Amino acid sequence: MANSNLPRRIIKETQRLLSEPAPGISASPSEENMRYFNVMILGPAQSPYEGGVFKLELFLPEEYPMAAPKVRFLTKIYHPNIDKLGRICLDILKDKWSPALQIRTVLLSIQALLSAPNPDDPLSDNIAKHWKANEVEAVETAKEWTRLYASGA
Amino acid sequence: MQLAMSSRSPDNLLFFCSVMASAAAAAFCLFSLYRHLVRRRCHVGVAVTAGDSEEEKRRQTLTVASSLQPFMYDRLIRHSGKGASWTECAVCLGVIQVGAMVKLLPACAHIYHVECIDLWLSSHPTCPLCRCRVDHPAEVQETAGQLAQLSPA
Repeated sequence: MANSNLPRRIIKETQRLLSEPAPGISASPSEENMRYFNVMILGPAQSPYEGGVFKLELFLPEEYPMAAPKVRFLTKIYHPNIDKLGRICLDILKDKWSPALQIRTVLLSIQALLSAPNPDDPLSDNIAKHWKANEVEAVETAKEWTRLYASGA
Repeated sequence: MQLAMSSRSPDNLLFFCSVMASAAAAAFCLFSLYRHLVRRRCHVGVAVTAGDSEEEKRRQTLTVASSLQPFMYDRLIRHSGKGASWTECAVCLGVIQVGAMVKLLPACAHIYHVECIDLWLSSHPTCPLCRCRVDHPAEVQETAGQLAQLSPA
């Protein structure tokens, strides 16, 4: 029932995501609700998350594309801009959202955030403090968490 | 000799006229191009004047949205991001068909379906594609008119 009256834009985006997936990213809609996507992002090379497979959930609210998708990490991750509930601090998911952005561009931005943690704009204060005080050690913890929680299970 | 002079002078006159006409045409083209380029510059990051309340900003946005005149799309309309064969509305991801009602944003010349852009502009004063502000009342109408004029009907 939730899938009736699905806007054509969402159908189009879904088709493109499935037919031309972005490298290191997969997103597939749930059968029960086409506005709910199961997402997997591979940890980018040269980042502490390399080798990890991160699961996320993405939901397109009723107002989409006038409002941003809601995205959350389901896999535990040690990152200054992602909190322990998996919520992501990313401007385009909040005040910098634009309807010209798409599911694909949002997921590419999240992938980029994994390559470039920004402890100056933290969501997780403890991790950000750790990152600023001792980046080498924080990166080690991030690698350890990747091995523990994101190793392709 | 007399014969030669009289036969040459209409040629001279013709030559003079055609030179003058070419010069005038070239000057007009250059002037039009200059005006077009000057108008098209993006006004990114214009500071909102201090003391603007949320309500006031919203009112201005609404005014801007309604001040942009919709018109019927045809292939000769000049706008930014024009594809070789078709134009996509970045909001609904649908092709803008000839005859569809559209709006052209004055500062950046991006084009959208009327209903798509009006929905966005009703709460945000920016272009979805380039984030140009569209709430510059002094320039808005004049430029929109000018671009429409430049586009052959």
